[in-house]
Amino acid sequence: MPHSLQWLGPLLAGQFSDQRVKLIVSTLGKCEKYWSGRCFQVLKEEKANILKIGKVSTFQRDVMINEILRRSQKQIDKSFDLTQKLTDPHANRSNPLYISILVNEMKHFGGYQAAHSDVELLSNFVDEMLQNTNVPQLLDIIFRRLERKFVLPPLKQRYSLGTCVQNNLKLSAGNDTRKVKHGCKCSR
Amino acid sequence: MALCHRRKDYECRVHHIEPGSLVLLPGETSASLVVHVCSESEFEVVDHAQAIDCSTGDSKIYLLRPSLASKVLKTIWASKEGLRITKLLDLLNKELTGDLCVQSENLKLEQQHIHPLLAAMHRMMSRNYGLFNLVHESVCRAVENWYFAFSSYRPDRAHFPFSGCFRTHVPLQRKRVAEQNCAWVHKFMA
Repeated sequence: MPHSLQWLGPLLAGQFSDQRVKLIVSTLGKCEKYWSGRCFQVLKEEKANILKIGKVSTFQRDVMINEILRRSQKQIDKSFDLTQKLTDPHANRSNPLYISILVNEMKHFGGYQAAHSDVELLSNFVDEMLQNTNVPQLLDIIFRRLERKFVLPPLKQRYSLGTCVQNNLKLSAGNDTRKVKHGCKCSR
Repeated sequence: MALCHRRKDYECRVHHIEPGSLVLLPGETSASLVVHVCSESEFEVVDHAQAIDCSTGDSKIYLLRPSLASKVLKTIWASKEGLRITKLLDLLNKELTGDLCVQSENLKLEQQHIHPLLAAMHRMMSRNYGLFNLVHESVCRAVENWYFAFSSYRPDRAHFPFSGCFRTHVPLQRKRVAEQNCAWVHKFMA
């Protein structure tokens, strides 16, 4: 367990004497505060060579975006300035997984446009995605696309699911989504 | 608003209302696509292009097409170490023919139905020795939040032969246990 890492310092010190390098990697944002915690102190006392790898830099982000796009023989115009869009107070947008998911999803813009005719420009599409500031929220958009694109054949017979209590509850003006209430309150 | 009287027998069909399923609502002549489940008794739909021959005369909600993405992701989420494609197909077909009582051959899932979906999800899925699994905790959390927000996975439903492959916790319980463990670890680390 992390709180009993005392054994790690001497072990690493021994390994460093052979000029070998050990990496301890954590991608958790919460770990930032532990740089001054007990684990760090244990390593520091043993004079281990510690290299902190922080958030993704602008240069690393550019390389990452270009590399992902290059794999599918695509590139993004410099005027689009995706890096600037990703430079945001929200630290989660610097997360490599977030960047990877966003850029990969951008490649599906054509298919998304077919499903959501209101989104005509790539920049609008990207802005809409960037409103989701963390990975799970971003994945919700991908789930929506997958639900529409990959479908089963329709049932030959309609299958009754329950009684509808209220239909056509409009959510807001200009929104095509409607809310429906059904009669069952079981926990499903 | 009545409670579901068949809850004990797990015959309540409302769990088939999930994001991506196509339903027919009372008095309407076109299908509606479920886009979000908001609560235990509410969900959101958008109009779908598919026209229906005639509207229903009653006040029932009818399922026209189950959601493939939802069923695949929920089943893979529930597996402990991933699922082979043959087992995944077996489970999905059992659910469709057993739970949904679909007798028609047109809904028997074959590899060609789910291969394109699995290929499209390859960035969020790992494939080790043929076992498909969700690749990252963030993906697991997204599946929990999107598909299990107001429903649970029932390992006892049609999965008895493979029960050893499935988690025993429903998502909300699992989340609570994970949060407790996390808080306990952080307390010692800080």
